[in-house]
Order: sequence, then structure tokens, then C-alpha cells
Amino acid sequence: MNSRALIAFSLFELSLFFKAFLAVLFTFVMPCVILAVVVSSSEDPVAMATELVPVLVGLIIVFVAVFTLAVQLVIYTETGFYKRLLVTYIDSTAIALSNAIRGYSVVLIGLTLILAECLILTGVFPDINIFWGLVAILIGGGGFFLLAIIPACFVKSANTMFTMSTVLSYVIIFFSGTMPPFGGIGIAVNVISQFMPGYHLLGVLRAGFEGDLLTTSAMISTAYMLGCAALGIFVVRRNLSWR
Amino acid sequence: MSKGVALEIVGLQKSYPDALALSNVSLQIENGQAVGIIGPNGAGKTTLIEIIMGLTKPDLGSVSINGQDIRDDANLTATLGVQLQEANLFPRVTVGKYIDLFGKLYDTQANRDKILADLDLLSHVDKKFGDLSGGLKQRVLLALSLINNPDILLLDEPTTGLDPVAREDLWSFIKEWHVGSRTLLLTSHFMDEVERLCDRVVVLNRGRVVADDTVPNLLSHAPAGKDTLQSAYSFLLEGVGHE
Repeated sequence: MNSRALIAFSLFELSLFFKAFLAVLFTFVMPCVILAVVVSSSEDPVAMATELVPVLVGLIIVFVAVFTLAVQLVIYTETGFYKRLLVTYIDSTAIALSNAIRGYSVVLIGLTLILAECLILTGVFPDINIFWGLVAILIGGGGFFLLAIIPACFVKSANTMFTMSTVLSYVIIFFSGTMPPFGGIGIAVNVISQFMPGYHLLGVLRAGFEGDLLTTSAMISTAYMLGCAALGIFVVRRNLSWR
Repeated sequence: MSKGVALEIVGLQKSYPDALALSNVSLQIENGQAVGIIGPNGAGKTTLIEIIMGLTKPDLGSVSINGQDIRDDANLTATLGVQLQEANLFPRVTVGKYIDLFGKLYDTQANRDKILADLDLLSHVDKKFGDLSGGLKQRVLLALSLINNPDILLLDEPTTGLDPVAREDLWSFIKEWHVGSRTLLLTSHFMDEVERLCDRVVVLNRGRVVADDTVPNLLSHAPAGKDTLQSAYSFLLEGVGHE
């Protein structure tokens, strides 16, 4: 793999993301609207903002992974652009990595916007650990981006991928524990959720932004996301190239 | 005297679940040759080109570029100039941006402005790919295939869908590019294109090489009155003294 080619392609992909109005709207604007509505109606805005940061970062990761990265890969395959790339110094691993680089860039932009909005709404910076939060984004985001590429390796058309992404995103978000109060739903959902990637993504992000990735549950979630990343790389290398 | 072998294809075999695409195909293409591959739809032309590019894995056989097996060096195919039959580009990106991107995806880069000038694309650099006519799009794809300054150019049906004037323009450029020791391998359904551009013709039918010779030699075996590839096409598909 050629690092110059990888950087050039990653920047190109990032520029494609910003050409898609809907992608930008749902990735950046919607989380900011959610934050504004929830924080402004809360009795303790600072605590609520602090609680929401990992959740909104998780939402951005999910949307970027399933709606932008995975769908884009299917579009590459569908249009023949993917084949054309493979006859350059871009190989299947570079495509997976450039997806991750684009995903990280978008998430970091989203995090910056969320933190700036928190500061504007509450007047203080949320009580989070930025360094460990970034480490958590690295682990959780990488795992999720590469996991989302797996269905893209098998799906043949962009429309099918959009449908799959929509269904998957509901499942992922429902079982992540972001939306429903798990305690009130029942033991089955609690058990199922512990095997779902969204749950562990949120686990890593919450632990990271709290500054403690060394608890048992955080380490389990970290191992889960790293496993997802390894599985994603394995499938991409196996199914998107024969060399 | 031999100029050295640019491409060597030995015993290629490829089958798909419902068809035999290639059966024991062997070819040796010397540096400086211009070889045209003709044959009906489903004859195996695109499969052959994609195996040479490393995009499709053969069941049996090998491909060497300048004496090196492509399985030994994954980046070897990046030295080829490549225009794929079904590769499309994203419509909202400008010509200039594509040229710059692909230039960075290779180790070597040809003179960008010279390629654009030679292909009469300088005035279209800031136009979006989707706004170009079919002829201009083909020229952009050809420009991308030359951006790595290749010595071997593979074109898969380069003028399909073009009007006569656009085809003539493209032929002139390809002919000019080929002068010297550069090697050209193209597939086509247009016999006049092959006659105009190639000094050797390989006829594929049902996955087998049924004829392989210069145009005059192939036509010398044809019945009286069939003095062009177009008129002798059906006869050539039956095979002309090829084992």
C-alpha cells in the first residue's frame, strides 16, 4: 500500500461527503438539534450535555458507518469505480482504511461542533475527558466503520444497501441502549443488547469520555470493537480482492 | 529480432457457475505491438482483460508483465494504463479533480497538462464529469489511463457508444500514443477500429483463441471477396489454422 495514494484518496472521499447535502444534514445538523432541544429543556444542562456527548458521537459514528461508508463502497462496486481503483496503488485494505479515515474526520468535526454547542448552551465545557474520549472514538469508530463494510462486500446495489442501512440503523440504535430505558423493557432485550455492536460502541464511548477505559465492562466493549475491526479487515481482504 | 515480451499469458482458464469464460488461453505480446482482441459477446474478452489487470482470479494459468508474474507483486498491475468497459466516475466531480486524484494514486505521473492538451481537454478541466458528452467522458477515461505514463495500455471497448467523429478523434490519439515501443491491447466490436489501430488480431470465441495473426495474414485465409475483418468476421470465428 502506498501512503501518498491512501491520503489522496481519503481526501477525495472526504470531499465527496461534503458534496452530499443530506449526509451533512443528518450527520452534523440533526445531532446539534437533538442536543439543543434536550439540553435547553433540562434542569441540569451541564450534566445533561456531559451525558449526551458520547451518545451523539455514537449516533454520528453509526450514521457515517452505515449510510456513508458502506453505501459508498457499494456505489464504487456498482459503477465500476472500485475496479478502476484496484488497478492503481489503492488496494482493498486501502479502501477500508480510507473509509475509516474519512469516518474519523467526520466524527471529529461532529465532536467539535457538539462541544462548541455545549459551550454556547451552558456557558461551560462539558465534564468529559477529551484524550480518552478520542481514544474511545479511535477504538469504537474503527470497529464500527470496518464492521459496516462487511455487508457492503456482499450487497450488489446501492438501493439494497440503503434499505439495509435503514433497517440496521434502527436495530443498532434500539439495542445500544441510547433511546429506550432498558430496565423497563425486559430481561431479553438486556441480554440481546450485550451481543450487539451498538451497545459496545456506546460502552466504549461512555467509558472513554468519563476517562476510564480500564473498567471490566469498558475492556469487554473495547475487545468487542477491536474484534469487529479485525473481522472487517479480514472480510474486506477476502471478498474485495483475490491478490 | 524480438523486442522483448511485454505481456505473457500462459494457459488461462476461467469458468463461472454457468459458463466457461476462458479455456487454455495463451498469448505472448511483444513490446511495441498493438493487439486487438475481437469476438462475440461472451467470448471472454473482458474476462481476459480483467485477469491481466489482476481484477479477476483465473482458475488456472498465469500472467506476466515484462517477465514478472502479477501474483508475485500486487503493484505490478499499477504500471499498466487501463480503461475499463464499465468503469464510471462520480458525476459531480470535475475533470481536473479526477486527473489530480489519479495522478496521486500512482508512483509515476505523466505530464498532466500535456495529456489534457493532447486529448483536447484543457478547456473542460473545471467541468463536472456528469456534464460532459459521451465522447468527452471517454477522453477523460483515456486521460486517466495515461496519467501513470504507462508503456502498456489496455483498453476494453474504448469507443463503444461514441459517434463517428468522436471515435475518429480517439483513434488518432491512440495511434499517436502507440508510435514507438509502447504496447497496446484492446478489445473491440468494431472491426474498422481493430484494422486501424492494431497490427495483430486475436479472435476469441467461446473462451478459446481461434485465430491469432496479422490482419493481412488472417484475411489471406478468408474466402474470395472477404477482404476486410468486417466481411470475414463470421469466417474468422470458425478458426483460422489455430491449434
